[in-house]
Amino acid sequence: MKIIFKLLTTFILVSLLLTSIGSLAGCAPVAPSTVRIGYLLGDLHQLPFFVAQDKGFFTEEGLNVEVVGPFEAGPAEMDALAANQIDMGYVGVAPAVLAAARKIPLSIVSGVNLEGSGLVTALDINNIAELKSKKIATPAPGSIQYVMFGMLLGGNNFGYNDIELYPGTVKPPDMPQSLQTGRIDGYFVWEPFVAKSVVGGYGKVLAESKDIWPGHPCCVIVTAGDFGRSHDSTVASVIRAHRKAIDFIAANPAEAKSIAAKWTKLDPAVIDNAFQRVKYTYSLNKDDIKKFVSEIISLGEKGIIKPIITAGDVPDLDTFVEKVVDTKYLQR
Amino acid sequence: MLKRLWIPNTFRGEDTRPLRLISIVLFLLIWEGAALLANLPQLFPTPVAVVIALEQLLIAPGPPGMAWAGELMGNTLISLWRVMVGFALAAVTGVLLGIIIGWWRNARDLLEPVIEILRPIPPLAWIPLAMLWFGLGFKPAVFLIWLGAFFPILLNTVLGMENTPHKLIEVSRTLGAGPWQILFKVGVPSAAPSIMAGLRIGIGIGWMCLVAAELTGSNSGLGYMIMYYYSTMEASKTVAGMLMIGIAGYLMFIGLKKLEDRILFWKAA
Repeated sequence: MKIIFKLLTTFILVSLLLTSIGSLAGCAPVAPSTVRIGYLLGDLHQLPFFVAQDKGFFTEEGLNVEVVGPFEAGPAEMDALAANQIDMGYVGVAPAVLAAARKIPLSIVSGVNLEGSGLVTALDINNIAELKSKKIATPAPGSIQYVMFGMLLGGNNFGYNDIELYPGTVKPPDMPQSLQTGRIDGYFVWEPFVAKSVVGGYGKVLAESKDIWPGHPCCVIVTAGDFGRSHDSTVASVIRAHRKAIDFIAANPAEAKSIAAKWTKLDPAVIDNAFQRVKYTYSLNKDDIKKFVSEIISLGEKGIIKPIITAGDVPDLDTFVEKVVDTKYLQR
Repeated sequence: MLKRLWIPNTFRGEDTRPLRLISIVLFLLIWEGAALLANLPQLFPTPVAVVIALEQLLIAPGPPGMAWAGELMGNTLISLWRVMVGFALAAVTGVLLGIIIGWWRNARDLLEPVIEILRPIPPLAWIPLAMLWFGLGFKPAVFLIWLGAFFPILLNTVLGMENTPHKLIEVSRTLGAGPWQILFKVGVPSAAPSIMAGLRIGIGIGWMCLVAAELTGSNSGLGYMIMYYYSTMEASKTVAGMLMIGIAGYLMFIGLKKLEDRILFWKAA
C-alpha cells in the first residue's frame, strides 16, 4: 500500500513539474507599453528595427521595446513566439507561414524588405549546371533562402539530391569563411553575407534572389496570435515606428548604412555592396504570400525539396492567407 | 514488498524485469498526461504522436546513398558508423598511450602536462577547428568522437596500469619474467577492468559528441535529422530522432557490457 502511495506521489510531483514547464508558455503578458521584439542574427534585412531604435522612433511612439535575440534562424524565433517569449518579431516570411501552417497562432502585420538574398559560389563556377555534386550551404530548411534555392534548382531541372546540400548546419555568418577556405563550393543566404564574399574577392554572385522571383517577399513583422487583439494600439505604434524607419532609410541612405555598419560590425564596403540587393518596404501583398506558400507546396510535390508544407497542412490557401496576413495596421 | 524494493544492488539476484517495465510504462503515462495538459503539440508532442512520427520516418526515403534504409534507419546507421570509427581510433590510441604513460614514469612526466592542458577543453569547443581542419561531414564528426572518447579511455588505462599490485610484479621477476612479459602478462591484465570501464565511459561521451557534431557541418545522421525537423517545426519527428539516439546509445552500452563480461570472464564469474 505504501509503495502504491509513493508511486502515486512521485507520479503527481513529476506531472506537476512537467506541466509547469509546458504552462510557462501561457504565463501572463507584459505591461501594454512594453513590447518584446525578436530579430535574426546579423540579418541586414532587419535594418529598420535597428534604425527605429537608433533614431528613437519606438520611444517617440511611447513604446518600451525589449529586444530579444538574436535568433540564429527563423524557426527558433517562431518557437519563442509560440512559447510567449516574444510578442512580435522581425523574421523571414517562410518561417512565419511555416509556423502558421503548424497551427502556431500568429499574424503577419507588415513587410520589412523585398529581395536581398543570393547564391554565392567559388570563382571557378560559371553556371547553375556546374553546381552538380558541389557542396552548397543554405540556412535552415524552413528559411526563405532554402525555398528560393529550391526554386532556382527547379527552374534548371535540378533537385536537392543532385548537389551535396548542407541546409542549416553551416551558420550564415560562417558561410563566407567556409567558401574562402574551400570547405563549401557555394551558399545561398541573406545579406550582408552575400556581399562579404564578393567584397573579399573570393566569391561571386551566381544568381540574385530577384532573378528567381522579382520583388519576392522576404522579411516581415509578425505578432503572436492574441497579442494584436489584447494590445492593438501597441502593435499599431510599433508599425508606425517601423514605417518611420523605412522612410528614414530611403531618405538618408548614408546614415542608414552607418547604422548598419555599427550594428553588424562589418566593413562599410560590404554594407555598401549589400545595399544594392535589398529593397526596404513595409508593404504587404497577400497575393505574394499565396504564391510563396504555393511554391513551397509545389516544390515538395515535385520532389525538388523534401516536403515542408503539404496541401494537407493548408487545405484552403485563400482562407489561410486571409487568416494569417493582417494589413490593417499599415493603414493606421 | 517494501523490504524487497530496498535490497542493495549487490545482493539482488531476482528477476527485475517487472520493475523495469513499470518504470517505462509510468514514464510514458506521465509524458502523455503532461503533453495533453500542456496542449502545445508544436512544442511538446505526445508519445502517440512520436510513435506515428517514428513510423513515418521508417518508411520515408533515407539520406543520399542510403535511400533503401529509410530515413530513420539510414541516419541511425550513418551515426553508428561514425561513432564506431571514432571510438575504435580512440580505443587504440587511448589504450596504447595509457599503457605507456601508466607503466613508464619518464613517459608520464613527458606527456602528462600536455594531456592535462588539453583534457579540460570540452570536445564541443573543437567544432570550429574540426571544420577548419577536416571540412564537412564524416571526418570532423569522427575527429570529435575520437576526442570525446579518447581522454576517459586514456585516464582509466593509466589508472589501471598504475594500480598494478607491486607484489605481482615482484613475484613475476623472481620467477624470471622479462620486462615485456611483466607488462603484457601482469600489467595489462591487471588494468583490464579499469580499461573496460574507460571504454564504456568513452563510448557514451563519443555518442554525445557525435550528435553535437552532426548539428554542425553535416547533412546526414541522427543529429542532422533532429536539426532538420526542428527547423521545419515538426516536434514529433524531432522527439522521434532524440528517442532513437537514446535507444541506440542504450543498445551500444549493453553490447559493450556483454563484451566486457566475455573478455573479463573471471570478473563475471
